[in-house]
Amino acid sequence: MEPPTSGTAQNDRRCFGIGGSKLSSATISQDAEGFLLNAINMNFFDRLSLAWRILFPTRTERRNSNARIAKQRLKMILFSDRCAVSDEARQKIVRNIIEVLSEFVEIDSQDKVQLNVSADPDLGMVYSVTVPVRRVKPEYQDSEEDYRGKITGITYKDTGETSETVDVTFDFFIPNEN
Amino acid sequence: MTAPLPSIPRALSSPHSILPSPVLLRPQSLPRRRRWTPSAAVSAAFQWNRKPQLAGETPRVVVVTSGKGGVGKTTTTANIGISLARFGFSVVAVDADAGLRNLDLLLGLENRVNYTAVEVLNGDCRLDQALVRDRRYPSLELLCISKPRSKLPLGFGAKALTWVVDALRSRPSGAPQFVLIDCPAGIDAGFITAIAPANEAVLVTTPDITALRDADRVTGLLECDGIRDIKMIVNRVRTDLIRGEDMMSVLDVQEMLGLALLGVIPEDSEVIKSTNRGYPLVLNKPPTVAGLAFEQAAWRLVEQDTMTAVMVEEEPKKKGFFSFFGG
Repeated sequence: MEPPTSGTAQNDRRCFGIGGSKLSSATISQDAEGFLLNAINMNFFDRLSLAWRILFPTRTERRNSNARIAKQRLKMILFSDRCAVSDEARQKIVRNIIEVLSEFVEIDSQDKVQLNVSADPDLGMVYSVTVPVRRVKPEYQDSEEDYRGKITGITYKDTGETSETVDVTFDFFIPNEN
Repeated sequence: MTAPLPSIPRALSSPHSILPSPVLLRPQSLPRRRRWTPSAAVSAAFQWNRKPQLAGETPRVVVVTSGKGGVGKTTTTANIGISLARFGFSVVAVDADAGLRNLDLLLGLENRVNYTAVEVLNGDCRLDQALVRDRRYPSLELLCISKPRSKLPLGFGAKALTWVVDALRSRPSGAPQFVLIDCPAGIDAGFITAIAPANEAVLVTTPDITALRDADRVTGLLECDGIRDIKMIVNRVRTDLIRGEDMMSVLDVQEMLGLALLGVIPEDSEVIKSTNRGYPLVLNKPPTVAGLAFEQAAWRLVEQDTMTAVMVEEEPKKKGFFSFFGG
């Protein structure tokens, strides 16, 4: 039983001849010749399973199909082509962001601010800036006045079901007057 | 009162003409025929008076570009130009390649080009002398930039081409409705010259990785130049390779580039034959697959419409009884 071949049969690729188009090459490449020589030397069951694998490829073979490989490579190339931000643009971005953020927070050290450009399959191009912050500027901090009188950390030692007394510990917040 | 019937039987017998695209099947009022009432599909194919409706402001200056060479820009320009002329619009096709001239060969007009735009700019001739009118469809005119034997015209830049297009717009015989500019390959001075007067762009690409990378780069450059309306034509599509997962499908291409799709042209050996004869592909009778696709793309260009790609049917997964054999 001969395994099916087409005009451009190759060893590891699925090939199926549907009559061949007018544009397929007339000569068989050296790969195909090697493939045929190997195939002739196999025994019957090996050839049968090879034929089956050619006609009905498994999922891993489909994953390595040429179209998918091309698509992967193209994605990588397009991302790296598109995200070529010039160096001076990077510095300007970092400087502007430091300026804007300094209004709200105190930045730890300006040298540690990083700009990262990456490609995310869902979002596309992602520019992320990491800024180490020492503390928030006082006028923007959460006001402690909001916590005045707040009761937290309530624990019941005795809820008064069996005895007639209730034993409770809790925290009561009063902000510093300084 | 019956309208005079042209010779129908030959068109009826060829299967190609009964292959109307969804566009052609749009319902319109049928012409009255008392003696012979055709079925809907047949009469839709016979509505020779039908024109697509022009959208956008005239003249529409469209640049056909691609970045990579050899993907079919000049073929696309020639065929879409002839299709537009056949629909009845006035078209001026400009071959913006100042060094190597090809559009005249594809239209079959290479013997009749006497004057070119360089001579118009020098004042040696008038603009209408440099325009070559096609004999078959007089609403198509061709303008070449320079003679191939002359030294490279270093003076022909973006301003010169913009001047030429403005002169076409304000010429006494009326502005053309379409100006198709055939862009040279690459992204250097010739490309910048060609895209300068344009308002819209048609990006021609093939589904292989090299052309797509260049097309992406060109898209970026076009958007930088201010051309936002970019539509894509995917050329040389081989459905057998797509089905065999050897070539990226049109859906993949659309997903990668993110452009609206104007047309999908299958690979057709008729393209080479018609180039050799100098007879544009869309004029073939019976129409070929690629010719029909070009005509539909021209229709969509006029109406500023786009199409959506469909997925090629995949091979059905065979599972079950024999799967222990290696499936």
